[in-house]
Amino acid sequence: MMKFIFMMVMMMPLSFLGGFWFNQVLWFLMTFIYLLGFSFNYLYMNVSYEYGNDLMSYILILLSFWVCSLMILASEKISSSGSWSGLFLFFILLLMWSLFMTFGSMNLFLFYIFFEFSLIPTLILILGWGYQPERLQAGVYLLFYTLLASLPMMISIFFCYSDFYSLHFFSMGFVDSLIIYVLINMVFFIKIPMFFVHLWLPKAHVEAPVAGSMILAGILLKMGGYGMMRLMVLFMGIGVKINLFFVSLSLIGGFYVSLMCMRQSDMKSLIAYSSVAHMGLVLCGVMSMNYWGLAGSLVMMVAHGLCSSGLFCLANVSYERLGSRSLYLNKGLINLMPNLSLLWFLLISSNMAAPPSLNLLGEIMLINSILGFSVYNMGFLMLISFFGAVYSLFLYSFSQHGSYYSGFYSFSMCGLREYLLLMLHWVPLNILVLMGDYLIFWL
Amino acid sequence: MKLYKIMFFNMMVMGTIIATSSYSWFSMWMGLEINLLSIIPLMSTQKNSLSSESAIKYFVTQALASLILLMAAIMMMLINEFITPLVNYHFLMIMNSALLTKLGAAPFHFWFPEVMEGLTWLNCMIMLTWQKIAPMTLIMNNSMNPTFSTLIIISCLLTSAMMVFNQISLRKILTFSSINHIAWMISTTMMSSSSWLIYFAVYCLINMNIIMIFKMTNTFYLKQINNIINTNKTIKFSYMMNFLSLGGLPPFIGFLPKWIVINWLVNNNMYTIATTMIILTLIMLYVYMRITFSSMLLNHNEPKIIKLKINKMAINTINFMTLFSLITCTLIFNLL
Amino acid sequence: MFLSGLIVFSMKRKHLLLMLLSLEFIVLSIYFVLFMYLGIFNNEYFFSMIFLTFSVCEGALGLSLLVSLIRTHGNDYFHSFNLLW
Repeated sequence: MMKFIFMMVMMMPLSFLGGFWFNQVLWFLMTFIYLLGFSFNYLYMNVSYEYGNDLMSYILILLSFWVCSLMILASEKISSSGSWSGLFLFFILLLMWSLFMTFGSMNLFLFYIFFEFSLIPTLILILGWGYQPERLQAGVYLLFYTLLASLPMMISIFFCYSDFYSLHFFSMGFVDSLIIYVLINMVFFIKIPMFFVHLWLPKAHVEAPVAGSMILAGILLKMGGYGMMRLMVLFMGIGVKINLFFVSLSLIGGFYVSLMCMRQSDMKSLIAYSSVAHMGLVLCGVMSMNYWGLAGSLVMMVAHGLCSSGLFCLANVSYERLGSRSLYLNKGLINLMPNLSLLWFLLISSNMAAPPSLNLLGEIMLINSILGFSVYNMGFLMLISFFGAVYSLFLYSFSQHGSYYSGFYSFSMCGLREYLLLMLHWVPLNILVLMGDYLIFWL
Repeated sequence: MKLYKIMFFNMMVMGTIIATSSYSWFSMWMGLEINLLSIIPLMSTQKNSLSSESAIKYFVTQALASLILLMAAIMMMLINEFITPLVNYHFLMIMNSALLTKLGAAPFHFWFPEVMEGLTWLNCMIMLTWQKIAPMTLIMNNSMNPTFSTLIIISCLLTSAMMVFNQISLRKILTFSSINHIAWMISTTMMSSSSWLIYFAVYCLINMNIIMIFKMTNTFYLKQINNIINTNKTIKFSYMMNFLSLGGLPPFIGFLPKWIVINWLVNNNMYTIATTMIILTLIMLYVYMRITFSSMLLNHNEPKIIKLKINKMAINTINFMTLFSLITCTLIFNLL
Repeated sequence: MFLSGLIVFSMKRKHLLLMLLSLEFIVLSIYFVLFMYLGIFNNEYFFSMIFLTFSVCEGALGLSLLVSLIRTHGNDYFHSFNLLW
């Protein structure tokens, strides 16, 4: 653990002094070194001081390394336009550092601190490199939605401490209080985001630069899922009684959000809403508190992290060319960039859980677990699954087919960097399914 | 720097020390009086209507408060000779109110923003940090009625949160933020003096950083931030981070005192007040965010004409060391 | 006596000088109480010397502030102290 922390710390001055692409190479190097540390073991490993990772944290840290590297690859524009590129690299590094600590800590309070820490680099990414002046509002939404729930969570963490005399994940007992359940989980609900508290997400996505969107969809939402997976152990007793409420809420919400997806005109906003629907399934999987649910939600989180981050990249590719994310302008792109259209197809088909992708594995496991929780969930699951395909197809057909907007003047074609970026999203997403058992046998 | 200012500054420090280390109420009153008498010449500058006005306002309120304090002490001694079970809670409450007036806590806060508005930044720093020590320690000596202190805390939080909106003067915003922090400090005085010390020290540290930046750039109003602070990258960042730290966001040092206070409150089963304090402080955090919005947007034209005579290295080093000391202290704690 | 001093002090809203005078009145009332209290305590009246010294210093400081205020504002009306709002 320490070597990666040190590598990141030492990269901090390098992000200002070294070049943009040198840092990029270092990021990939770091990712692959971390990949070498994979142990075929579900126990905590690399334990030092308060940090260590089991397979769940390992996978999520790996995902965040990967997404952060791709973030840099995606935001070539920041380097070429020279808008504070050193600072940008620095904040990505800071964000990665906090994510590393968040997923790697074995202590609830350290988890909490770094969970909060990750807010600030995200906020600055959105506010500093966003596009419209409305990004201020989006930043405030992001910050205060999270803080409003997370500071009461701190109180309940201290309550847990006075109960258990320890905050280590593996030495905590049970809590049977409804208030503590709500206070601790609410911050994860907001982060995931659950329906009703999801309003910050589309706003933040629409205003964020591509890197911010990628990290938001790719990792930050997963922090909520990760926290719930870690802490659901505490709420075995109370969870049996009231998880039903949240499961049904997020199922109905997922259906409703899928409907809302179909009438979005902004591509990014559509992808953001689709991730609300998908993360709702993850929430249900964790809440169902069975083996398949937990494993499936991890699979789904990894899959969704790669897939939606790739979709945001795609949206950004056409945004950089056309200067708009509106679906009414971004149409008929197959006439203009046919190669890119293949990648659109591949990523969108992954988004609707078409066969070779990891999303399919996750969705199958989640459907099983949610049906195991209650058979009556079948109806809404069907609807969510169906409408998931519908809005994915809607996005694909609306942006690719039809006649292209006649107001385009000229733009450069898709570069090699962008193909690489998109393939680096898609290939792991579809290769990892061959190794699906390692994502599953972590419990 | 004039010679008499150095003298009066030392007198002021001495007054606070006399008051905090006093053994009887009378010598405590003496210390407070010395403190008051020597800070007035520090405040007033010649032929400046603002500073003389703030000096007279400060004088009038502080003199009245200390007289009420003395009266309450004498009456308490006359009535029941300070025997602990017989301590008269009504007079204790009067005494505490007088101390809270000296402090500028919320129902007695009306002089505070007005006085602050007329001062220079260095005087503001004295008012925000040093002048709080003596009344705070004395409040800690008195056993405060829990209902009363809860009332004070909540009214501090509410008034500061409500009044701070629509302010454009940075001095007033800092004043209301200080009223907000007074609420937290009062809640620590209910429990443990060591946590008060940590809270106060960190608060002073952050305030000193902020005020140093403002003083060096000669900024007094929100609009001036765009002119000077935003034109310099390093200053902009330390300014922004310091305000987030003042609001108590986790990676910065401002989180440490809040953490400790909440821990103490939870240990003493005061969940409701802890939650109330946290939620109401979020409003304050919003205001800090609002102040720093213009710097958070990062892009700003940086004219080369404006030459700031600022030791950037010093500001950077000090700010970096203070802001990120939370991380270093947790890491060091792990290494031990 | 103390209470009436407080009332006068807080009701006064025209001249600053009158406020300072009422402050002196409060000081006198406290002096009276202190004297009574010290009378109970073995007649240790020398403590009242300290009190008197401090109150005189305070009064002198108040007057000097009054002077500086008149030099900057031109009057001592309380209505004119509104620069800081």
